[in-house]
Amino acid sequence: MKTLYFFIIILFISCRSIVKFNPEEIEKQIVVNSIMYPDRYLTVFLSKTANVLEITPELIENATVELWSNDNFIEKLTMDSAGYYSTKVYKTLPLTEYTLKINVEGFEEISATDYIPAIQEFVVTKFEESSFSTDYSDDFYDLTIKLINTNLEGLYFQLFSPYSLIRTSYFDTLAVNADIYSNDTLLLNSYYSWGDYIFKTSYTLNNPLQITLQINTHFILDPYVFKNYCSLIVLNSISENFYKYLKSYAIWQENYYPDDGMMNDYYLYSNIENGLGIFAGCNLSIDTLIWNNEIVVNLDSI
Amino acid sequence: MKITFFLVIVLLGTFLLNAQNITISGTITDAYSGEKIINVLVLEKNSQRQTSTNNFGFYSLSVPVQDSCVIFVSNFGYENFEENLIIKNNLQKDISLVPTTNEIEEITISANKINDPSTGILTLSPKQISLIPALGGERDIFKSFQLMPGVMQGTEGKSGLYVRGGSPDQNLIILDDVPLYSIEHFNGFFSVFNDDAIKTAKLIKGNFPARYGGRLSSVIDVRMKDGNMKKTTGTISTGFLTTKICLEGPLIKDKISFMFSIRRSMIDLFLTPYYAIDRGDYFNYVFYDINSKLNYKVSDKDNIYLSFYTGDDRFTNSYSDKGLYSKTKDAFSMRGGNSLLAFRWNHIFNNKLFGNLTLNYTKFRYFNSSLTEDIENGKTTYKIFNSIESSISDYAAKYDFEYSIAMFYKINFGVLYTRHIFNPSAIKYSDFMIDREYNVDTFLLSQNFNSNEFNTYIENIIKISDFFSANIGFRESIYFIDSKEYISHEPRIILNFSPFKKISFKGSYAKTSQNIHLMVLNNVNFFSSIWVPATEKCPPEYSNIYSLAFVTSLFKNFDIEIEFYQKEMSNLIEFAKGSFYSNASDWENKSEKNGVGHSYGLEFFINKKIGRLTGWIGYSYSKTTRQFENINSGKVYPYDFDRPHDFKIFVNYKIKENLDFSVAWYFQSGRPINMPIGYYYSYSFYNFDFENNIPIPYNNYTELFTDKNSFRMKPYHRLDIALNWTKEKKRGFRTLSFGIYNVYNRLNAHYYYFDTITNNGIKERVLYQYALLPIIPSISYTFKFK
Repeated sequence: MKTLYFFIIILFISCRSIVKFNPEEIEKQIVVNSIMYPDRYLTVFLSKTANVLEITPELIENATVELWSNDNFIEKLTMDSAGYYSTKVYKTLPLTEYTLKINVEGFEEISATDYIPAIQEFVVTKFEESSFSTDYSDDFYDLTIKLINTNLEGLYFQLFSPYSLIRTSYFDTLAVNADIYSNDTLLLNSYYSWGDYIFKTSYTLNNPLQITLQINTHFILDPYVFKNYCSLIVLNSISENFYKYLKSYAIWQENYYPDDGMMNDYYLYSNIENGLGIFAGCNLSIDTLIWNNEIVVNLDSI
Repeated sequence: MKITFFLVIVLLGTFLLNAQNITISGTITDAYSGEKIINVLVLEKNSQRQTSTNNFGFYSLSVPVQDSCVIFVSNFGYENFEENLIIKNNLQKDISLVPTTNEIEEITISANKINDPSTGILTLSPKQISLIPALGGERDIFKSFQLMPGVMQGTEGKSGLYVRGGSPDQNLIILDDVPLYSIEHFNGFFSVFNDDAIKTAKLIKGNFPARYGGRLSSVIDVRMKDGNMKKTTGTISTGFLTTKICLEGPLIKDKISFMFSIRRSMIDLFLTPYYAIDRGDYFNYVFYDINSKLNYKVSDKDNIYLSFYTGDDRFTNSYSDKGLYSKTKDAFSMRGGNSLLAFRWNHIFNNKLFGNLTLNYTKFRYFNSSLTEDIENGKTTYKIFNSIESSISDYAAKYDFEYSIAMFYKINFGVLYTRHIFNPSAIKYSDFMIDREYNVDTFLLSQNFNSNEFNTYIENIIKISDFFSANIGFRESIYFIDSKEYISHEPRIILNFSPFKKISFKGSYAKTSQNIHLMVLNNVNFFSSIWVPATEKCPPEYSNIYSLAFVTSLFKNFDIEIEFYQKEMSNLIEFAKGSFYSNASDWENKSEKNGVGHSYGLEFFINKKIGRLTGWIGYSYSKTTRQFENINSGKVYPYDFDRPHDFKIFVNYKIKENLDFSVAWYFQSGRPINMPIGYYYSYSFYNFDFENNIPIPYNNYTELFTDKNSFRMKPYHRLDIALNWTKEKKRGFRTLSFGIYNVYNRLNAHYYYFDTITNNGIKERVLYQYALLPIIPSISYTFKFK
C-alpha cells in the first residue's frame, strides 16, 4: 500500500527551485503618494522604485518638499519619519490648486498639481424595505440618496459601501447591489459587492445624481449586533486625477495574482511629473443611517 | 439565394454528366465486427479513379463505362481487398475487410496524402494512440496530437491544444458530430475521450473544409465505435489513474449493435483514506466518462445511430469539529462536465446521394458550492451556503448530403441550425439560523442569453486527374443574438497539384468565424472557464487562414511534408486575468475587444511508416502575436503560448511480435510571460478613520513591467518511454504496459514567483520556479476478450 501511496503522492509533489535571474537594472524613480483633504495638514509619502530583487523600496529621508499654490510658495514640509513629510502650519482648502515640488539629490525636480473639489452633500430620500427583498428574501433594504447642491465642479465620485458600526474592534462594510443614475442614465451597477465604486457624471439641477443601493442587511440582523446600530454613507467628491488613479487601481487589483507568478502587466495612473504615484484631492460627504429597531431583531435578547 | 442558384445549376448538370459513367457504391466494414471503417481508400484500377469512405463507411465511386473493373481497397490494419467486377449498370458493392494479424506493421498517422487535396490533417486510431507513451499510462488522444508539429501543449501535462497560434477555445471539438465544450478532466491533465470507446480521431490543423465551422483555428473530429455486429466482446484495463471497461456486441446479429464504455478515475481510492487517516477530513475526487451507442441497421439504405456521452469531475472536501453535543461542518464541492445525446439517421437515397440527419443536444455545466453548518443535539442551528453555477447548452439539427455527380466531381452540402443557451453565472446564497425571523434564500445573480445560428455550406470536390484535385467550398453563417444579426461569408479553397507521381503541392485558404467566447477565471478551481455569446459589445471573431504545402514520398518508406501557414485573426477578445475571480458578472465590460492576432509558421514532418522501426520527426518554427488597443500600450506582443521552436520525435520499435518499445521526446521554446522588473509603493486604503473622517492610507506594492510577455520561461523538454507486452490467453489478449513520464526528471517550469529568503542572516528576494510533474513511472493492465 505504501508503494501505491508513493506513486500517487509523487504526482502531486511540487518541485520548487530558485532560478538564476538577472533582471535588467531599472532607472530609479521617485514615488509620491499624497491625498489632500479639506482643512487638513498635508501629508506626503516619498519612496523610490525598487529593483525586483530588492527586499523593499527605499524610503526618502533627505528630500526638500514644498507646497505651492498658483506660483505662490506656501510651506516647506517637515519630515516626520522616514519617507513621511507633512505641513505643520498650512491646511489645504477646497477649490484651490496646489503644486508639490520635490527635490531629491540625484533626481530631476518632481512636481505634481491638483486641487480639492467642492463637497457634494446629499440627502437620503428613501430608506425602506426593498421590493427586491420581498420577491427573493427579507434581507435587503433600498437606500436612495440625491445630491443637495448643483455645484458643477464635482464630476468625479467615489462611493464607499456603507460602513456599519457593528463591532467595536473594526468596521464592516455592507454588501450592496448598487445602481447609480444620472439623467436616467445608468452610470454604474454592481451586484453583491463591497468596497468602493468609482464613477463620473455630469448633472443638472433638474436631473441630479441619484444613487440607489440595495443593502444586504444580513450582517446587521445578526443577533450579536449592538443596540443603536448605525451605518455610514460616504460619498467622496474626487478630482479627475484621483478618479483616473482609482479606476486604474481597481483594474490593477483585478489583474493582480501574486501567487500565480504570471501576473498581468498593468500600470497605475500617475500625475507625478518625473516620477510615479498620485497627488490628488478629495472631499468627503458623510451621513449616518440609524437602523430602526424593527429591522434590528433580537436585540433585547442580548 | 446565390447558393440556391448554384445548387440548381449543379443538379441540372448532374443529369448531363450521369450518362457518361457508372457508379459503384456501398459501405466498407470490418469483417469480424461489422464496424464501419472511415477514410478507406477505394480505387478502380483500370480507370485509376479513387475515392474514400465517409464518416459512416459509405463510398461512391464513378468510373467510365467499361466491361469490367477492378476494385481495390486498402486501409491500415486490414488485408488489401481486390475484386474483378463485371458491371453494366450502377452497382451497390458492400465490402468487408479482414483485419491483419500483423497489427502494427504500419503505425503512422495518416497525414497529407499525395492525392488528397487536404492539408494539415492528422488521423489517429486507438491502436496508434496506444503506442504513444502517456502520463500515468493513461492514453490520451489530445496528448497524442501534441506530438505533431504545429500543435502545442499549454502548460505542462495538460490536454489543451494550441493549434498554429490559436487558443483552445478556437478548436471545434466534436464527438459523433456534436460539439463538446470542455475536454478536461482533472484540471486538464486528462481529456474526456476514453480511447476504448473511440473509433478514430481526426485533427484538422488549419484549412478546414466548408462542412466545418464555428471556430477559428482547428477541428478535432472524434468518432465513437458503432458496436460489434457479429459477437459480444470487450476490454478491461486498469492502471494507477483509471479503470476502464468497454463492452460491445449485437443485440440482434447484423441488425442492432451496442457499445457501452465506462472509465472511472482511481485517485480517490488512495487519497480518500489518506486524508481520513492523516487529517480526519473527507476528501474525494473522482472523474468518470460513460460512452454508449446504439447502431440499428434498418435496411441496406438506412442506418440509425443513437450516441450518448456523459462525463463529470466531482470533488468534495469536508471536515468537521465535533463537541459533546455539537458539531460544526465545513464542506466544499465542485462538479462539472459534459453531456451529449445525438440521434443520427443515414439514408442512401441512391448510389450517388448519401444523407445524414443529426438531431442533438449538448451541455457543459459547472457547479461549485461551499457550506458551513452548525448542528446541536442533531438539529441544524446555523447554516450558510453559497454556490456558483455556469452552463452552456445547444439544441441543434443538421442535414448533411454527399452527392457523387460525376467521375471527377462530387459535392457535399448541408444545413445546420443551432440554438445556444448560455447561463454564464448563477450565484446562490442562503443563510439559515434557528429561531431567526429573517432567513435568506437568495439568487443574487442569474444571467441567461440565448442565441441562434444558421449555417449552410457546399463543397465542390473536383478531381480531374492525378495532376489536379480541389475542394472549393463556401459556408454561410448567420448569427442572431437579441436584435443583432451577424452574417459571415466564408470561402474555403483547397487545391492540390501533383506534377509527378510521388510529389504534390497543395495550397489552401479558409475564412472562419466564431460566435462564442471563452472567459478564463482564476486557476484555483477545476473548470476555470466560462462560455459566453458573441454580443454587440463583444462581436464574433474571424480568421483568414492560408497555407502552402509540399508533400513527397520519393524516399522509400518515408513521407516528407513541408508546410507554411499564415493565420490572421480579428475581433479577438481578451478577458482580464482575475477579472472574474468568483463570477462572470459584467463580463462584456471587463474585456478588451477588437484584438488582432497574427500567426505564421513553417512545419517539417518526416514520417517512417513501415518496418520494425517506425515513427516520425516533426519540427515547426512559428510566431504568433496579439494586439489590443489597451494592452501593452497598443503595441504588438507575443501570444501567451508563442513557442517559436517546437521539435518532437516519436519512435516505435517492435522488438518481437508481441513486444514493442516507444520513445517520445519533446522540445519547445519557453512560453512568454510578464516578468516584473521592479516595484513601488502605491496608495490604497484599507479602512476608514472615523475620528478624522478620512480613509486610512495603505502602501501597497505595485509591479513595474517592460513590454507585455517580454520574458521567456526556460525551454520545455522531456522524454517519455513505454513498453507494451501483449500475450495471448485462453479468453483473449492481455497487455501489460510500462511507462515512464519525464525519464530524466526535467523540472520544467510551471510558473515563476518571487519570494524572500534569509541567507546567512541576510534577506534576499529571489525568483522561484515551480515545476509540476517530475519523473513518473506507471504500469497498466489491459485485457481484450476474444
